[in-house]
Amino acid sequence: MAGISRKEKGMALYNHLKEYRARLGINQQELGSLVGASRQTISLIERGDYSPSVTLALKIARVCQCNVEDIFWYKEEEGEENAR
Amino acid sequence: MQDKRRKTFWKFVGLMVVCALGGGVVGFVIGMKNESLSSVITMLLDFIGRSGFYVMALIGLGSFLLALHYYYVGKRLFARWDGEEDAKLDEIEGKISFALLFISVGFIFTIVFAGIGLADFKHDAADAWVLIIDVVAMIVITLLLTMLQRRCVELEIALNPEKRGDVLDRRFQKDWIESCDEQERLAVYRSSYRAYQVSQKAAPMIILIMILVSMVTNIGAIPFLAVGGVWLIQSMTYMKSAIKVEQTSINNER
Repeated sequence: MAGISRKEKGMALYNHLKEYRARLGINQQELGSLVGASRQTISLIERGDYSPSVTLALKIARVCQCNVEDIFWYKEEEGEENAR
Repeated sequence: MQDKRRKTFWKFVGLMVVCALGGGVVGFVIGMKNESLSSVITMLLDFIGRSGFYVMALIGLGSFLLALHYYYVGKRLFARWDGEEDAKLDEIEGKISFALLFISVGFIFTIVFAGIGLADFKHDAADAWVLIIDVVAMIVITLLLTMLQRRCVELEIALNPEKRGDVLDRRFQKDWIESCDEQERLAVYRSSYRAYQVSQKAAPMIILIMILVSMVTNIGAIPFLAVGGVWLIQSMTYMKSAIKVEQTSINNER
């Protein structure tokens, strides 16, 4: 299940970080150590409660050996899209 | 946009009028009931002065015991943690946060009410033992809270090995924030700004209350200077920091 961050107005940020981490076979603490973030931050990203900075997202993608867009993507919410 | 500005302006004028009327009513009541209000406030201040030591001991030690409870619950949970279940760590960190909250409350009440107790001291040689007990109690409770705070921070570091800092070190706050990642710093900054917002409202309200009380009984200039001093330090620190952040890149924060 994708984590969703709805902090940005009109934009939901989704992520598959938990799945990628499971593929690597590491826990949140270990992933945090590899990307220079705390376990708590990794947990919040996976739950969709925090949107990482560009730098952190790039580091995560490098560790997961994929592109940033494979892990994170956003979708404009319908109301905002229609308003435009 | 103009409509919104006009609306905001008239709301502000309305608020000023309501405050002026409210102030007038309160002033009138104080004028009418000056003597009885004065005796009530004097009695209250006397009671607080005499109770200073007991409030310090009760809340200081009470906070210590509550914090100790949460610390030990967190420690037990950590000992039973299998090293894999991530959700459990959030629960443990929650317990540590509560322990640290009670420690902060304990520190503030201990120091404030120790001060109140000492301020009530009659400078009589016969009561010197009261002064000594007050000071010793304040030191003991403060030490207990400090040692427990250190244990909580050490447990936090055990949960998050990237964290650095020793509570007994002068550099603790600097070391700690430097070991925090972007999300943790954002959380600290958000919480700090919220504290700043609340303090900016609380300070003038406290001064207003003191003005009303000073119409009834003499409280001197010291309370005004104390609250005003803290308010000024906080505002100047915030503005200086904001100017510094504007002038340097936010990514190179220190």
